[in-house]
Amino acid sequence: MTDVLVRQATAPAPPSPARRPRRAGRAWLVGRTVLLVIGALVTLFPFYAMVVLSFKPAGPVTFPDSLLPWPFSTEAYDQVIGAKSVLRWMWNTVVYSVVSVVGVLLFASMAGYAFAKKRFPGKEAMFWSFLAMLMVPYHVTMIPTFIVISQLNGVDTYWGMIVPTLANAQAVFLMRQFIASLPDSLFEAARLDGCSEWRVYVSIVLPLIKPILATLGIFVFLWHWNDFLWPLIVGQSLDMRTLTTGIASLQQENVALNMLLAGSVVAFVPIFVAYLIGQRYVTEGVATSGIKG
Amino acid sequence: MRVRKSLSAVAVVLVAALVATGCGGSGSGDSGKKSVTMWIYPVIFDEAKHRAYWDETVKAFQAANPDIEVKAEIFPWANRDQALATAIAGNKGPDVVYLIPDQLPKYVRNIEPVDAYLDEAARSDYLDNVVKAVTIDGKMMGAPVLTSAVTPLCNKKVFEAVGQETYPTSWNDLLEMAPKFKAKGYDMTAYAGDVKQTLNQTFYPLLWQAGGDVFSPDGKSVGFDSDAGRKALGFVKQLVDGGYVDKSLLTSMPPIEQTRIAQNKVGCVWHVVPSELEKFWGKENIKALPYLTGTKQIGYGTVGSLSMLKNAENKEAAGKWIAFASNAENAKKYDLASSFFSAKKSTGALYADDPVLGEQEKQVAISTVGPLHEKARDVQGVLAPEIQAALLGKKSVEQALSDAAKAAGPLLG
Repeated sequence: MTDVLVRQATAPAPPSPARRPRRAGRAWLVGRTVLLVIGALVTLFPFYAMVVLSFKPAGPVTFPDSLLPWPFSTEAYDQVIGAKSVLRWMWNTVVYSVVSVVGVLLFASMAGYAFAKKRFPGKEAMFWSFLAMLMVPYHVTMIPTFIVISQLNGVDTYWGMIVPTLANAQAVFLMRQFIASLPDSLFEAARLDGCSEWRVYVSIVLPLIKPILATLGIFVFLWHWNDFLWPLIVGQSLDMRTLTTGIASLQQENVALNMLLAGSVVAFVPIFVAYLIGQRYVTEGVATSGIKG
Repeated sequence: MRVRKSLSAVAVVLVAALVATGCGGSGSGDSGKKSVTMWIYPVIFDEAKHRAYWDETVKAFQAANPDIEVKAEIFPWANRDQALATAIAGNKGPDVVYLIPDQLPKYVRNIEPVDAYLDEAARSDYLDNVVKAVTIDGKMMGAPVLTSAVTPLCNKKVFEAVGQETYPTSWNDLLEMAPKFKAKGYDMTAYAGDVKQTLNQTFYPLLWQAGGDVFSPDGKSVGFDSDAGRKALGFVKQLVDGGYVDKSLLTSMPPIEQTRIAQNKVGCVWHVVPSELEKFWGKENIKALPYLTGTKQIGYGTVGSLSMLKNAENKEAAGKWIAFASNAENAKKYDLASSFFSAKKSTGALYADDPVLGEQEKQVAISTVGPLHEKARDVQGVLAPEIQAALLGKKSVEQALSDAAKAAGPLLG
């Protein structure tokens, strides 16, 4: 009996059906982690290279020596952020980006709500006409837009820079799609309770579209922060330059690589911070709306 | 409640933006003063020095012309034509703008000739080829303030390592020396064949050296599909096929830091300026050479000039400013600060003591800016890919030039 018990205790237990999948699951977990780590490193590498090379003195780039953090030099940053007007350019960029984000979100959400939930004659024709704006390349509309802004004396002003960017067809389209997915019963109930249109928009629509507002806000912020051509054309004086156009005006025709990358880092840091703040919404938004940066 | 607060915040931001509108903008200047706005680009590398130069020059001008207010705005090189063309279309262009000859034909309808604003002494003080470079239909479209000469530059360290004691003066020299460089692991030269690279600094100098030109004398057809064109392209192809240049540069245009030029692996180049090479080669290792000779000795050098736009509100004031900023004394200061060369005879040599710039300066008089043709850039657009195809062995030299000529035909009408 004892022998039987000992044999039973020492004999290798047959693999239980539950353990095999667990082992396979662990292998999959390790494999997946390794893959993700590799993917993360590959993704981070350009950013690492950007920062490291921006802190190098001017010189040839050789692999792998140039990817080491030494020799260390801030000469490129001295040139890029040593400009007298850099704070002014930063402020202009913040005004241009933040006000545009607020304006685009406000107008796009209102328009999106109207297109999604309101009934009025010519709604479909208006919507598709508006959407057709997406098909027109920016460079085609740039000169006519500039002429209009110029005739309204908007050149070299904040509003001249901001107002044309507020009519954002892509933002309206995304808002409309999101709001269309909200149940009609909510709006009907609100109306039965005597809510005005404004109240419906403020109390029902806005709270429900927070995720898409956050996602779109981040993307609109990125578009404006990195925008070059329109601010260049409208902001003609030194005081009206944005960060992208201001930094570009410091550079010779053939820009040294370290200076180019230092400029990229300076422009990148604020939007990276903005991304970190709203990354949850960006992830959700990309997953649900299919926006690509 | 929270949403209402948010909306209030939105309203505050938008109102603040509208209020800020009043803060932006350059305005139209003090009442009673004539205003002149000039757009210039980062010609002097150090932004602080560049701004200081124009601040001082404007101050000196305004001391003599207290009724004229001048604003010098430094614009980026990037997208400069889009910014300028858009501003002109919106009637918000500058009064005066820095242009190079390549741009003049495109803007000729918008430019006020400057002949009437420069006195005879100032006009006759310009070098002959400089005047030619800015003259269209017999009128000067800008007042030149600087010139350049993109001559061959050789790396003394590389020549020492190879054991080559003499420097090339002709195409034949290059071809003869090239195997020696190759045997030691160096490139004889570098040919920038990417289609984005301007041909003014790559293929055209060879075309001119072979006795050819981009357009026919009447400008109604192309001139590169000729014996001279075939000779020039054939020469580059010999360099490529022989393995004497880095083939990766035929299809890409990496930053110079990532090329063999920066790694001190190339003997000579003719599309780079000394200031770009100094940090990699060391100024003491740069040997500037006269332009190479094929059938004749010639090379590319640009001319920077101040042009007045037709829409300038105060043409007389703009003319006075152009005359002042481009006079020999001011232009000389500008040239010295930017390491460019003088467009004037009266200034004499500016870099006699500088072994590199001094040698290049000697070539200014035989430099050319390339064709002053309205379609010059468009023709480059169809020729560059054909040159690349020939160098990559996808087409013969003859076929490539012939195809480029056919593609250019409709452009020229």
